[in-house]
Amino acid sequence: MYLWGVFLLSMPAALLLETQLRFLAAGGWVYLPWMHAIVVYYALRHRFPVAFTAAVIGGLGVDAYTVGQPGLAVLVYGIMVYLADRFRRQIVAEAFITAVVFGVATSLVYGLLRIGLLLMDGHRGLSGARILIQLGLGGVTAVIVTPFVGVLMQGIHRGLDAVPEEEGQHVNT
Amino acid sequence: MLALRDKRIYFGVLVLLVLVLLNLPMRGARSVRGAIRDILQPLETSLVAGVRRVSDWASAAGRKNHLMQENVRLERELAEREFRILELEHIRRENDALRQQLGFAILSPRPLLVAEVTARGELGGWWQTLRLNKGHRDGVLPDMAVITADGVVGRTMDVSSRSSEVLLITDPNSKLSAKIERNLAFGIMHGAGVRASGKDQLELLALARPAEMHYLPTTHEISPGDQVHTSGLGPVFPEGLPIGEVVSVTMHESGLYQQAEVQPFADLRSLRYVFVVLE
Repeated sequence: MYLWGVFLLSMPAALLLETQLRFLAAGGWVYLPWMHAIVVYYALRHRFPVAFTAAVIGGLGVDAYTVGQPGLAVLVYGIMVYLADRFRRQIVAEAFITAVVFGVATSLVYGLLRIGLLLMDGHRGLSGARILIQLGLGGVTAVIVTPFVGVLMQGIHRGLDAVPEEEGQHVNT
Repeated sequence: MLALRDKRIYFGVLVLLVLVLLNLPMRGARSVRGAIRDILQPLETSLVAGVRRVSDWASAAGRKNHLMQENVRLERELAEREFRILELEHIRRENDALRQQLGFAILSPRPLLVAEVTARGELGGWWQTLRLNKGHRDGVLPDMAVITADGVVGRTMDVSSRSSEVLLITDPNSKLSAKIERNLAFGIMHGAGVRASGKDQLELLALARPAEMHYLPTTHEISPGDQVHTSGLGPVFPEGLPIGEVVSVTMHESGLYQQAEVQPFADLRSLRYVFVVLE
């Protein structure tokens, strides 16, 4: 019960942090990908149904606060949950580097697909330099935020004794 | 533990959901986004109010609480009255001119709705937007002008029941018909993609202005300091709203028209309350 309680609180909390903190960082050029980090955490450290639900709810949340066609964040988070599940035997889910790789990958894949959609829509103001800077900064913030969120969420789950049995092992099959 | 078959069902559902979402028509997409935002809007409003309360409390340490509340109320009232005065001045000037030239003056006051800014910028940072705590149920519709006592802020874009997204005039995708107030030179103003802060900003290693005005006729002399107002020719912005000030003027390389860099009057970085023109 605690597990789902933390889950239900963490999703809106991540979204509100992302919408409220983003304009404080470097005039809006840098955004802190809290939701990416939360979804990566659930994808790597929790059972498949929890990770899947995180991908859908988190994705819908991000899409709701993004201008443009919804569905992109759900797609990217779904891909990340799939990859985490597919390679769970080959990766060490608890490792710092795993969180960083998944965090950066989520940020870059989402960023690139978003740029693609914006280009298709004829969005003005998409210069090459801006795209590179924004993608680069997105990667850097993911390196910082994803492991931090992982440690924080793990601490909360352990504090509440809400760690799932399968944690870190992904014994899903 | 889940069987492989069950997982395939999960991913099948997810793929179906993504396909439906990505193929939603514009109206459906807005409804989906609006419905989700409406769920979180009370939380967001409470969070913003809480943060601002703490911030106000910290900045006015020593003052009594009821004085702070009074101050907030008066600040809001003052902003509203400042705008009214500005509007009345404009009406008086126009009234005088019309009386002289045509002998009549009919201008109805614009109905305004005060809204609080609850967030800035969409996730991802590709659009320059604001989010307001007013939506459909308060009478807000897409493509309504959003202004402050200082000048034009932008126009409403996505409107849900409890909130609305505003596209700022500094966004490169924003366009509005404007005129130089002094000599009625008409042009099209659009954002230059630079964060507006009331002063020059270092943007991608080059100084840039937040907005530009294009297609200004070569027959009109335009100088730095000239005020730019809305022309009223577009469907969104009523005529005569102040937008900003010309900073520099150059001839377009084609030689067919002039273009000007414009500094908006409204400080789009520190907005707290704005007005939606309900017309």
